[in-house]
Amino acid sequence: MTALLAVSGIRKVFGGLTALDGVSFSLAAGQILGLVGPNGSGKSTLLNVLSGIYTPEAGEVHLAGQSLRGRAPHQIATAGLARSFQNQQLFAGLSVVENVLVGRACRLRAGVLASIFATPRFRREEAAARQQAEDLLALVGLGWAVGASVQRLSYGQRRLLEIARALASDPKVLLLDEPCAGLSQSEANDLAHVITRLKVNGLAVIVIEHNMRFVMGLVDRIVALNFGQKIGEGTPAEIRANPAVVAAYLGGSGHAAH
Amino acid sequence: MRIGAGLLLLAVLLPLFIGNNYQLGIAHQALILILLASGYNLLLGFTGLVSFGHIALFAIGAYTSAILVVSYGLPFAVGLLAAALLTGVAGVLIAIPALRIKGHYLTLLTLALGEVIRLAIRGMESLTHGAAGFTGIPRPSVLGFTFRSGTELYYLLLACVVLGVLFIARLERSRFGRAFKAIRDGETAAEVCGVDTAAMKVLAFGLSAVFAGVAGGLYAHTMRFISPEFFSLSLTITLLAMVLIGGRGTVLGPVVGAVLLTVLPEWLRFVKDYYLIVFGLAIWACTMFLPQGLMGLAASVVARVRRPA
Repeated sequence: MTALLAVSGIRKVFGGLTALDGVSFSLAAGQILGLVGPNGSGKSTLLNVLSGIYTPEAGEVHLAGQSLRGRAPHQIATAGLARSFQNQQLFAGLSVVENVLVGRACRLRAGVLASIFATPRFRREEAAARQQAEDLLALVGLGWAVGASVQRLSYGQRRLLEIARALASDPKVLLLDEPCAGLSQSEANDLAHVITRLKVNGLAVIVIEHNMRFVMGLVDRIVALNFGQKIGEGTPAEIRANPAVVAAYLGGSGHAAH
Repeated sequence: MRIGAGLLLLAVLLPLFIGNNYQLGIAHQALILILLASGYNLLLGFTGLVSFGHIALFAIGAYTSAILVVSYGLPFAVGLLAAALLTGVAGVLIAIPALRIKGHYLTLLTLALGEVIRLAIRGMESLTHGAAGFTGIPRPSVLGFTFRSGTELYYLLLACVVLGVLFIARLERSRFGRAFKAIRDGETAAEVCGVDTAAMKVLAFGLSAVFAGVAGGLYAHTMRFISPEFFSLSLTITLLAMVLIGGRGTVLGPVVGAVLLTVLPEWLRFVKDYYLIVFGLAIWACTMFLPQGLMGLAASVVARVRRPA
């Protein structure tokens, strides 16, 4: 099997703290990988390394056979890796649909002059991007909010908007950092449904989530982290039976399992 | 859009109601400052980059055109084009260090660069006539037609303003306008979404500099006299206030702000030295109560009138 995303030996150090220590795993197209671990185990740091916000001290990330070493975040996004954030980062001064259109930025080609003179090519490109953005909003259940301002959305709806924005670049891999935080159980179910549909089309997903019902029902495989190290990998059932993972969650560190 | 059309109609008819050359001169200034403030808004309002060196770019534009037309005898159109290009290049050069630093540090850096450029203009006496100022700049003349009367000049400037504002209105609705605002609202998020934030910042600096260059060239040929003292820090503050009071990040905000802050000092002559106090209070009130400026206020009033069904 050639992996769509291959992560090998990632090491990330902040001052004296080793946040990630030799983390490796791989992911095939159409697979959903859950990333679990106690708070501070390095999950979000790993996503930040994958999306290029942090540069790792060691290790390699390959996306569809290409090394992502030394690439800026926007180049990684262009290569096909999109993400949502744990603390929402929407563009407050843009409308809902414009937020999604920013997610499409790396696929748009019209130059400044074409935009100013509204050439047919510019208009075609804009119309197609807008149509795609509206389709994505409909997919996540925000079809009603196209022209609204971001402030009119609830906390949970903003999460869904972030996911629509991430999907706008036609990514090969989607990283979701706690997508269910702030969602009601029915919204979480809807989101799981959306992700399953995308998976059928070949999208690979890495999801950090504390909502175990959501994780266990959705993912194909789980990678468990603790203190920056991979302590387990396997199917949800295997992870639940893994003594190291159980100890990490229930052990003396004071972190409770959800 | 409707507000823009209304303002344009007013602007086209304005010379019919202006009695004397003094008032027409104020209208000229207002139009030039609209162009300058609209370009500055691309940086400050759209992209969220606070530069205090913008007036230096305006000065470069004014001096480039004046020197080429007066000292080298080139036509006005060539002078203006060269002003736009040279200022654009200067804007891009300022942008390169600006990519590495953020926030207040960027503001301080651009403030220093602006002062350096102003002092350089004063120092290069053989080229710029130094502190004495540059005199004898001819009226604009295009294809043999010279814009001699105040009214002719007014319509030339108005045409440039209309083109400039349309440029920004179109840009706002393209991937560039969205990218600028995305950088302003969340630079990391924009970058992760696939926006080449470095390239977009350079573009914002470059485009706003071209506006400053054109405005500078037009200023030189309208006033026919320029001196380094005019391009001082106080003009930078006025420019900042025009964008903030009018409404940053809106197409028409700088238009409203520039007109208001050009005309208001004339109306407020009677308060004399207290003008700066009034001015300061207005900036303070706007940042406190009207974060989106007067255009933001207008937009929310329109929204409230339309909704109450």
